Amino acid sequence: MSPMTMAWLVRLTLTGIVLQATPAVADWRDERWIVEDFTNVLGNGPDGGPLAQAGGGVHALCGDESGRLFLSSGQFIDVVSRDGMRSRLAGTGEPGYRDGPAHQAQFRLGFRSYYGAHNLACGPNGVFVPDGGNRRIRRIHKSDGKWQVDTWAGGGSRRLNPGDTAGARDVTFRGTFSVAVTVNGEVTIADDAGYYRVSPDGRTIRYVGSWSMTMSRGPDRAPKLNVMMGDADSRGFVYFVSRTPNFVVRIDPDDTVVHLAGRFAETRTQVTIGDGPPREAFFDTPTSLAVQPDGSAVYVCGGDEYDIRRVPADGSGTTATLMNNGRWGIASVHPNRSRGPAVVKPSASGRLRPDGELTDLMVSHLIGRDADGNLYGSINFWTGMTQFVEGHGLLGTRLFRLRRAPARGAP
Amino acid sequence: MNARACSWVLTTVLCCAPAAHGAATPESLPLPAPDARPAVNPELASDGRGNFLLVWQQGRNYFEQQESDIFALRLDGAGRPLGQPIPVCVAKGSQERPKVIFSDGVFIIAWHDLRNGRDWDVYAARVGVDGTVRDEDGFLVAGGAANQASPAIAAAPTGALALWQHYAGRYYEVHGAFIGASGKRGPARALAFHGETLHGGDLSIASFGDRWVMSWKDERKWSRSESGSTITLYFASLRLNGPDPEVVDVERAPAASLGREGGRFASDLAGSALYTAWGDIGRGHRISVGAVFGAKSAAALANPNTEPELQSSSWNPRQVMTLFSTRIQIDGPVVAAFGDGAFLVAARQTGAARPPYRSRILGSRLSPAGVRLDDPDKLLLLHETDSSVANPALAAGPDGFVLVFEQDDGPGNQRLVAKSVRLR
Repeated sequence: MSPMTMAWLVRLTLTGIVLQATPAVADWRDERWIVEDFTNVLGNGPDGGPLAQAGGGVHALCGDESGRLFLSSGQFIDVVSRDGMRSRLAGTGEPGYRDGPAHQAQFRLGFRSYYGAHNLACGPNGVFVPDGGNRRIRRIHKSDGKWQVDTWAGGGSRRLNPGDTAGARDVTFRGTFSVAVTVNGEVTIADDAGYYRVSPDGRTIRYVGSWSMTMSRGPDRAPKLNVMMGDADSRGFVYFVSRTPNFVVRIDPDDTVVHLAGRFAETRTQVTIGDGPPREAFFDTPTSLAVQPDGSAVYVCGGDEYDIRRVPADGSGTTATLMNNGRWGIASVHPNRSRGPAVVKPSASGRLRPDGELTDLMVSHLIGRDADGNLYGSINFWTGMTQFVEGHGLLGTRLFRLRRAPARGAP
Repeated sequence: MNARACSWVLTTVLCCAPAAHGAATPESLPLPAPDARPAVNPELASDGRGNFLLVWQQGRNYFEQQESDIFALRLDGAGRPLGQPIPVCVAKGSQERPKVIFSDGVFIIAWHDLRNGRDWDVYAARVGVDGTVRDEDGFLVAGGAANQASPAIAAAPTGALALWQHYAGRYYEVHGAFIGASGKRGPARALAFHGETLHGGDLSIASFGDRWVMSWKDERKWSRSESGSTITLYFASLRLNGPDPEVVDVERAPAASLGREGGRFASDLAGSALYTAWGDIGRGHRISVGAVFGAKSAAALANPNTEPELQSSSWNPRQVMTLFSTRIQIDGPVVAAFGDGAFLVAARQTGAARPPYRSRILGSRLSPAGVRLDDPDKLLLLHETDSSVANPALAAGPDGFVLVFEQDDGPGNQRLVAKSVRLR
């Protein structure tokens, strides 16, 4: 062995010892979220083509493991290929109900649902979308080389009781419903009254149970949620967010439902409730939710929140609020009291108002996340603006990516 | 009242809204299509002598499934097809969103084109009154790195004035060029006012002969209206300056409601242009609105109508008019054409959220000054069907109007349908 090779071996060994000796501690407080252009260009643009130059609003998004993004845009489902080109994938643009070839399929997205709620869930067996107007869960997938849309669940008339199992397309759902899919392809559906699991082959559906009584307004009243959006982490835990009442629920792989975050609060006391233990935090009419794929956190946004709140997925510790320097801060009062203009200050430091000078990062709806855990947000159309990033200028798109620069030691 | 209760009240009110009375229109005519791809985004132009040219996008840019082409079809004064669909551009990649005008003896069509596989470019082609395509697969109007897209065109003394979006880094600029009826293209220029380049998209333009009025949406330059709502829509008047279009003045929209969705112009070619748009004025209530512009200024003229009280900060009845009753929800776009001494406006009524589903295209008339000629609660019913309809296009000839729209009669049968509309 030459002296040079020996020296390299010693160096590698020492490096290994150093790496082993330094525990990989990932503190979410050290995460950095960087705001970038995404799509729906300012002033509008063509229906597809280069992503950041394309027009068309997006209500929901999910990303698959291959790096593709799927977007719901009006009554279309669009796809963003790995080379950054946006195209139509499914839907004719007009509301209706039609399964079959994706380009001929029709949906009624956002119909008969609370505030037009619908989400997209990417799984190994396709992209799932709650089709509120047709009272069905629809699936977009590629079969024999062709993109197809089919009905995965719903569309029937049978109402199930907890524990009942039926054909997946024989049942009907109550009110607004949302969907999540785990890495093994199991679809979970949440509606006003409770939650269902569809077998991975799509044949049967089981009504697992109703919502936890801790989310009821009284001991003699069954809890009723307006489930706006759902997501699943890589460990098989599933999460949903409800708007009015304002809760985050977790459904564990063993079917247990956990009231993860949110509480009832009188109007006059809402603003005084800042970040804290998730079950004691107040969320102001949230519309959206996304999960960090590793299962460490759930992000909640929308409605009158105008900020992204971080909820530890295990329910421990404290919620946090994304500040306009792209870092997490603890709000001592509800973040609505910290709300400022849509300005990102990457190099600012300090604490949230009223304790410091920083405001929350202005986001009025979280449309989803990709497979890497990056988030995608929007600001309501009426503001006529998107994020202004100091040193960078106004973003060129109405929708933006919040790219996660993980803390040191994070996966 | 919570949002759901509001929604139910709104639905109930709309169900009780006055039914539109029928216009004297003949049966609809399904138009021939070149293949089973959907025929979408129709646009119409008239030569003023009873000949119409319909252009549309055949197919869509569906990932790994479909591409689109540009086709045309001649129609007579009653909307009947003359011959078969004419392939205007069937180049590789997708071609989308064609626009058409008639000028100096020829129809001029412009569209954006993805034939290079990387980004959109603007192309144009001329089609004779006899249907002869003079520029097979079109000629390049604007290309280069990044997008040149979403053209809008209007008649010019010897051809057309074309505007488009030019992507310059993070934002779009508004560029323009003249396209001669001879096929010669003038130099492409960024439009500027007082040295400042216009930015944005959603372009529309109307011609008054040698002057034009245009609109665009610039969200970089948003501002607050008197009532506090956000305005991003702007208007400009243009004139010829040598070979180039020159921006004479710029005005912001008189109300935010005018800039919500899909505004577009129709001109009487004399001195009046009607801008029509639609959008949500609060709680999902979508109505159609309009404003009238003259040839000399980019400022909207005074609204000559008495308007209903609207509790909306985006509303300004001094210059903006409702085109249909505010009790009728509209699901755009709203189109207009000038003929028989009046503007005819057409739009699709919002469909029901629950069965039975019926589709209606409604019409209303306005004088050149913008005076509503029909009772807002007794509008013209231009078309009604159980099938889904969308995207009406309208043009006028000496014998009346021709209306064309998309109609979905099932897979492989998403076609265009024409109707003659005679209001005299």
